[in-house]
Amino acid sequence: MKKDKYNIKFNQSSPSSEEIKKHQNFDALLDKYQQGQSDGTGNGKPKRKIGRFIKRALIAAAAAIGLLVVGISLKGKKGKAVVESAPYVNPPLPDSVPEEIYTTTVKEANQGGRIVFKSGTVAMIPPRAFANRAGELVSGPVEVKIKEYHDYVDFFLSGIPMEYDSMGVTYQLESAGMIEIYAEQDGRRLDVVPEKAIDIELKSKIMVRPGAQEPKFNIYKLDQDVKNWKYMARDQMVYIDEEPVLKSAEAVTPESVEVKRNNKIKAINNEIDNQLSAFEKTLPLAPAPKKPAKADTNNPTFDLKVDKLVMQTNISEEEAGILSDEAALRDLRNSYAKSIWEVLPGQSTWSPAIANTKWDDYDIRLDGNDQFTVTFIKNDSKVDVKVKPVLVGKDYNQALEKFNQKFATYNQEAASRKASIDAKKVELEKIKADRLAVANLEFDEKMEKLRDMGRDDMATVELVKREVLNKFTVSSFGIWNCDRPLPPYAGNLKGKFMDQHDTEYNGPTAFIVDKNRNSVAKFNASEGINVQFNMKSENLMWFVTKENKLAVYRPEDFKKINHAQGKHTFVMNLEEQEIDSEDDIREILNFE
Amino acid sequence: MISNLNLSQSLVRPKSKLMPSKSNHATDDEIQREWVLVQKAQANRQFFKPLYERYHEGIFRFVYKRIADEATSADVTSTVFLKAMQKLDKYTFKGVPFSAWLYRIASNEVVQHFRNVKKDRVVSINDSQLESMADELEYNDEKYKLKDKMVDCLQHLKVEELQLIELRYFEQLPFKEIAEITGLTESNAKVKTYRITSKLSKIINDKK
Repeated sequence: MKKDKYNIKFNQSSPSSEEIKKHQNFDALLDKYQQGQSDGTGNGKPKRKIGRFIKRALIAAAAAIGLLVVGISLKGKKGKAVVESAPYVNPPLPDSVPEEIYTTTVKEANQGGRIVFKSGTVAMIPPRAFANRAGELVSGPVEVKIKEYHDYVDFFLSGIPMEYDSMGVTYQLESAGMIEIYAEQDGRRLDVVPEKAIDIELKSKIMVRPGAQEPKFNIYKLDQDVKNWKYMARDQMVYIDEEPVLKSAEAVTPESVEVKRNNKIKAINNEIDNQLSAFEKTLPLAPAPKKPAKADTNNPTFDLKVDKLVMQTNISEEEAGILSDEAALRDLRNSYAKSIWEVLPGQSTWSPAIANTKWDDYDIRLDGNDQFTVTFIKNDSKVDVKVKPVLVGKDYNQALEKFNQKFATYNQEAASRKASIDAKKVELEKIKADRLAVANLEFDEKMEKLRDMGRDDMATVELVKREVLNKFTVSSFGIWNCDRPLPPYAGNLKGKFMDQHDTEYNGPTAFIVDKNRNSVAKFNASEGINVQFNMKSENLMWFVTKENKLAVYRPEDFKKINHAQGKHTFVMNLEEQEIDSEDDIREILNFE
Repeated sequence: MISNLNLSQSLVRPKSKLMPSKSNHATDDEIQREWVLVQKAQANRQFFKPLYERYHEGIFRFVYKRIADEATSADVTSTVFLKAMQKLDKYTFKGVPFSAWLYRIASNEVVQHFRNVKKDRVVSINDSQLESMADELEYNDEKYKLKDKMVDCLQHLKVEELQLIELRYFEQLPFKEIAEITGLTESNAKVKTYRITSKLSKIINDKK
């Protein structure tokens, strides 16, 4: 089936004017324009023209001298920094830590194929996907090289910016894995042929709330021309590990503790109510007997045979239940056997002539609440008269006596039932009070614990690390990042920086990590700078001294900060350990 | 209601609610006043601000309809205005609103975006546009099939053809502005739009 060219959306909602306005920032735009003007990357006026001229001249010269020159110049880069030209990518320890680059060879570029790197990353190379810098397709073996960045130490060492500038707002990028990819043939860099994009599957780890679906991450490419990340697509992320079994599947926050307590109280109340209701059902009580009605001599009465009594549809469930049962209906008819029928007052259909008419037939229907309708029938004419059963003379006296006996028994049974229920209620209320007390005690203990941890006013949640597979498509070589932008933290803490030996620092690039976010932010550690971090989380900060040593400010130090003062002297711990490898850095930073 | 499609109706005078209404259009005076603003901005980009504020939302919506992602639309819109500022010196007055020139840049940026991300271009249609489009195309099959048929039908269009349909029928722009946006002459834009409309009418009514 032919694939659709367009994604047609009907009645899609669009942002409101207010939402759109949030993206408006003329000052940022003007800054960007002026910056472009000053460094020649803007509208590319004179400088771009010169650049083009030089580029063309170089290409011409290379063509004239032959590929040897190109080969030599590029060979010098082999195995070194992967990014060809990114002066703003500044590794903080460029000579101290060797880069780990994975290389896999595509045996025949004309055929392409699926290649798997040592790290487990997979690349699907389409046939004829590589071209040289002159734009010509290459054949034969091609080396595909990748470097991967998965955690804050990787990001720190790479020097790759993790900020994303959008309309003057600088967002921090939280990464679900970053990859730098390029290809070479005989030491010469190659390009991806347009329309021959490479599908990548990059394994990495992310921090998520327990039980959460895969979060939405985007794919960005580092755009070296504008020195910014460029949004490319949505990351097709999937979990590839088993969901970890947690001690508590819930996030521990004051709010969650309170919600849990409230839910527990609700459950206790419901359970007690249900128990009481179930107990009541074990003590059935027959309906109260009906007091017989005595005939009112002011109203007309007549006698009818009750075997004509039938069920009426609009009667109560109780009465319907009785009337639907043949035996019960017979009992009912018997109970009215001695009754005569008194016409209810105020009926327009009633006239004394009715009593004097010889009717062919009649029905009696129970309307409910001890009221009946009698329908008198003659030929095609019918007359409805509302009546009630009444007793007269001896019949009434006998019925009343019977009623009094029954009613006394009923009262006795009802009182006994009520006493049993009341006793049960007291018993259950006691159980309820005990259980509510336990729930409240648990709540108080949990809140106390949170307060001890300094998290009583926080929305921090316990996050878990999950293994994910990022799936995306690479249309050109360079640095590709699976990210989501995080808004900058609000910070109103003016910083001053020194170490344990009272040495003051003014100006080193400091790196700060929210350990619940896979990212690293950097700032200029100078006196008076606004230090931005998530005070509800676990933070780690460090910088590299001129002697290539790390000065570190640890999570426990952050917890001691008094934010109310609005300023803070960060006394960094200058680590004397020499840095020879990435492992040294991870050790110093207590990377877990 | 099914209306008859003919050249004079389609190209000269609005005949349905899809067609541009007078209120959408800038008067000559307004266009002239705007040109003064543009000249000021050409001399000093600080004065680009009123133009930016006037057209930001319109350009954003134009982009959003084609990309359907707020963050990306914000980025593309930002790029559109940055490029407009960069190229402003080359802008020449052609008697149409300045926005037409911005839409042209926006249109190119959207194309560039989809070239980079290799995703399907989005086409946004609301119910009233769909119904009026059905009138334009003399659609005479069952109404419940219309959406599916329209989806099918639009897939036959090239990107440039789709753009003309969107600008004329969905964005409701006059041909003078469509010409400026697409780089066609006004009469060429009219003829092309007529041909595309006829083509769509044939497709949607042939495919029963």
